[in-house]
Amino acid sequence: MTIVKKSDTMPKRPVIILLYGSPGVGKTSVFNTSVNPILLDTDRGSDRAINRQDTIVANSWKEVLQDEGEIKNYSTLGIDTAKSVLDDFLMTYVAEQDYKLKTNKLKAYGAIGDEFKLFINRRRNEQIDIVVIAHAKEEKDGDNTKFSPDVTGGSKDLLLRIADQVGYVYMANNKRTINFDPTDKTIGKNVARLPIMEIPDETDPKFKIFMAEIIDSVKNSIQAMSEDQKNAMILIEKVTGLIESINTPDDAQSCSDQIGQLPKAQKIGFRNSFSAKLKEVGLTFNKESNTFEYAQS
Amino acid sequence: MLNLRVTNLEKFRRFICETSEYETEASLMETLTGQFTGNEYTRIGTAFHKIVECGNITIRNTVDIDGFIIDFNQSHIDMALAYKKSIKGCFHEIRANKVYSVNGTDINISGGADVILGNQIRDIKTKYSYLKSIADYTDSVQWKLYCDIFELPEFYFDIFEFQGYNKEKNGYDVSGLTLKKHDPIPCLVYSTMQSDIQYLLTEFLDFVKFRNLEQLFTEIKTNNYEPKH
Repeated sequence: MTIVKKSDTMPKRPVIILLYGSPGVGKTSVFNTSVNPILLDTDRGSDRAINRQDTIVANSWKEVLQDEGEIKNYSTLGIDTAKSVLDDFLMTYVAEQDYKLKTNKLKAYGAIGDEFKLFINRRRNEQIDIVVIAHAKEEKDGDNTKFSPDVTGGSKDLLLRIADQVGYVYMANNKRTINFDPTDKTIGKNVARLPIMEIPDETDPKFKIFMAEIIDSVKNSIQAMSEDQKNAMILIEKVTGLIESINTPDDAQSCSDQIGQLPKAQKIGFRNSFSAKLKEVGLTFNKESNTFEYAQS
Repeated sequence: MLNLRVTNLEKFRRFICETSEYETEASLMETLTGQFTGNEYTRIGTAFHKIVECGNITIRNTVDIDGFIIDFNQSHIDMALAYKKSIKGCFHEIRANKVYSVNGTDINISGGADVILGNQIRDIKTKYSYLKSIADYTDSVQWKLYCDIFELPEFYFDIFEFQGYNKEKNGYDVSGLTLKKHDPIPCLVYSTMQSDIQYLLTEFLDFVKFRNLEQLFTEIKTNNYEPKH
């Protein structure tokens, strides 16, 4: 167990990235450009990929569990594909553990989620980043056609919830491209605020580290968000203390100045407690002189 | 200037996108005209919110909402209080607004966030049927508007499900039901979010003009929640 003190910067944590797109668009090839990767191939598609890396070929979840000890020797795990792991391997596995789950799909998805999360958590403990690969399927959304990862509803929700970054891989002007932003036609999640990215040609040196750089960006962004959140909470605690200690017009002015520098949401948040404190200690704001003063009794 | 609430726009989105058979134009109009004043679902939710905001305010595990007595059990109270503890240092029920300009018409949109925790907006949702798809939440315009109005980058739906609830059978008494807390559903600001909001506002404005509903939104007097500091 590691204790990270509240004043410390949270260390970078392993991330989960979901890539989905049409078969043959190059998702596995992109994964192969991660740092020290190993691919869990459950769909027998790895042989088509460029720059093939070490691969575990599995035919069932039991086989995956048998080989999972090997994964700790790598830095990035690719799961290819999400559908075969979640909807096929794990569905069979949980039904083998509890036959009733074969007929109760709702409970089965719960059990699949639990089992998959345990597997993911073990990788997190090993500091391994995960790239989940899924095919895309078309879904009708009113008159609109939307592309989403090809996994059954419950599994899709699980993936979209646990993934830090979700990108749609597609061909645009004959170039392989990734968009991480959600659009009216695609599902996305973009913690790192990455722009639409053209995947470099395999002969381009940038291609060799393409996924590694994306993973690094996501890690940096998550760490930055975590740091921003920590700083926001520290500032809120500080201003709360300042409000509590208001006794004089100068205190009120100093506190007001601090609140004035906060983001909009926090400014509004402090308005009630600030006003209540002024009232409690008998202070008012003089709009003409633009200063705080003792209220006339 | 039209004055709207985030709820109006989310209801409109659900109607336009036909998210369920219940999202009819009649149902939309109930919301827009303010005829909808609450039901079992919303009052149980309000009661649960109150416990999260104020601590254990129950009397023998009951909460009074507008004269309707909601019956919880101790595990529900404990779950609400544990959640309250997890969001220590937050602001509750914060309202804000923002004025958007759509084809020359100003639209003032206001909304109230359940919880502001640092840079995060957290919305407490009580639910009465199983969670079919997180898209019901991630597709909503509610979180996009809240992030935009409050100028914050992260939004989380914190979902509490009263399992097996049946309105006819349970009514306001949920004491016999298990309450399940789902994993939070995160939603993050994205680069084209502004244009998605503008697009929906344009559609809404077209609808308002088509149905001659302008007076519904010009008569409502809303506060300007811009901070004074």
